[in-house]
Amino acid sequence: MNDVLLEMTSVGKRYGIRNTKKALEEFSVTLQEGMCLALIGRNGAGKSTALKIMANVLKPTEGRVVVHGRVSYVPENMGIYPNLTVEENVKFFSDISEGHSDYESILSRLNIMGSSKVLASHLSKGMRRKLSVAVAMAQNPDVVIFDEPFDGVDQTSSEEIVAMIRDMKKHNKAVVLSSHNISYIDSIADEVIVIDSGRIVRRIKLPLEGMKVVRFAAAYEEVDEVLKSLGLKYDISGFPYVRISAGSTQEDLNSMLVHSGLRVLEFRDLTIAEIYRGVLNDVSVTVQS
Amino acid sequence: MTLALQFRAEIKKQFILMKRSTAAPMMVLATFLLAMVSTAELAWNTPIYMTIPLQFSLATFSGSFVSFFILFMVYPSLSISEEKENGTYDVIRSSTHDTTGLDVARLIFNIIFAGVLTVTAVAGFIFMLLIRYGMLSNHVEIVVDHLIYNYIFGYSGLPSVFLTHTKTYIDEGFSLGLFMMDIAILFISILPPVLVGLIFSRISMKRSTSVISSVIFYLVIFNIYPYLISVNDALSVKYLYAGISVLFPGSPLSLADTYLGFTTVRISGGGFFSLPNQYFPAWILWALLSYVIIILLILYFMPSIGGVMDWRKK
Repeated sequence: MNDVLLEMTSVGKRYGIRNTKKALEEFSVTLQEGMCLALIGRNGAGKSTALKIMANVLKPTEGRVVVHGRVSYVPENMGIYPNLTVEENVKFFSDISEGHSDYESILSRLNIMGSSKVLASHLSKGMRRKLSVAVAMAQNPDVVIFDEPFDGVDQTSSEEIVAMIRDMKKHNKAVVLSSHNISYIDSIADEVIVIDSGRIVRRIKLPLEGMKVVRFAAAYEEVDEVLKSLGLKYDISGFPYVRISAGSTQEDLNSMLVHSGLRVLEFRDLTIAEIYRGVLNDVSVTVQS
Repeated sequence: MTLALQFRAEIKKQFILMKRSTAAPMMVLATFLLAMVSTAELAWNTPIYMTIPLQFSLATFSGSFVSFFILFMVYPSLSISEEKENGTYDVIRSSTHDTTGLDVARLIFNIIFAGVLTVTAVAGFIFMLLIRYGMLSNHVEIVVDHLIYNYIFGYSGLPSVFLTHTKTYIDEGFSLGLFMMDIAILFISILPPVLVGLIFSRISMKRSTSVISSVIFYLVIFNIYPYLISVNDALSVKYLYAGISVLFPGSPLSLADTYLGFTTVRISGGGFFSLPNQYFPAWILWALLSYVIIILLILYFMPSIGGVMDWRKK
């Protein structure tokens, strides 16, 4: 079993003169070596507050945070000096935290070595974001915390950041990130936490197994009847997409559906984005009711 | 080992940032101009108090007020507040548990820079005094005073309700040792305002808050105490004020002079110009220009308020 690098137990954060405004409640999480945890949620849900507490930037008003190892934090506004060059930024943060002396390899891996003498303020937003990742890596951390790492970044740069995060995981570093861009989370996260109004509303372990999304070329009633007759657990509320719980393997379920006479147009895993939308709908329904 | 590394890295970073920023040369320029403006008022009024145009009084007020406030408080405030805005402050706090090395380096850098500004201000005083007294006097002793009350309550030389009035001494003997001592007093007096500036920037999240806090602090220190003295005439308050006056030069130095015998700048006349007074109207324009520069400087450092920085980038 991998070592625990960060543990938060029942952490809460309140703001205001009388601590009346709750930003985070009963937030508990355990982060192990080589693990990537993603926090998702609406704006103002409490993601950044949770990350800042993990990074020791904010003190919690309740609960306990235990960190084993070094943490580096990449804030949403990137945390780099605009009037220092790429190289000077990386070197400064490396020096103050006694991090990597070989920062050139980090810059090369992120494909920004060519801009090492360029002022950070002269870089594009995507390049600045990559620089902020390089700054985090230069500190040789055990835990890296990213607040919106894909915000304003083009696809190529995002993929480079994703590759870097995968590399960190391989080297047993733990990564925590928050993101509005859920499309990259599927491929890097081991666990996703959905936050709403400062509370954890869903924990999702990845990869998602057992839940399939199927699109049929058939009428609603026919699909409903056949699935019922097959004894499957399913949710047809999103027709023509139907979520089916696959107790058996993907191939078994697929052949079962084909032999049932229904024409299958699409057969795939449920995505985080779909679960997230479902969670948000549930939350909205709860709030309304 | 870590502390030494942190110290070295921070000092190096601060010097690189100072070299690259437009802030540092603008600060030096503004300090020079404002020191001249502050001195100009005294020079203009001395030895005979004269009627001064309203614009000039406004400009000299800004010079007296803003120069010291910029000199001692704003620059250190800006540096940390800027870090808070660009997120580097949080990155540093998350990656290093002990920031003593960084804090000490920052303090020392700010003292060095404030020292540079002090020398610049003294150069501004000297330059103006040479122009004014060049051929009139071989020796000048001058005491900086709080100007605004002179304009509001009259500058006849009589004590106002705030007990402050312009004081100048002419034809005092000049000695290099005395002159160096005055500069040393100015330099030592930098420490508390730099610390206060750093404290404000620690507390506030934005540069604008930091600057506003510094202004409020300035107003309270320099105006409430004289008021208390004048209203209550309490001896303990007088001594306290005298102590503060020594630590915070500028407006209350005349009181410090009264109680403790300190003066600010003594300078020997030189004789750059044979007819100094003919140049004086030009300095009124300089004064107004300085006022405009200071406004732009403050806007430049507070893009959230003035938007000048954004406009410049576009």
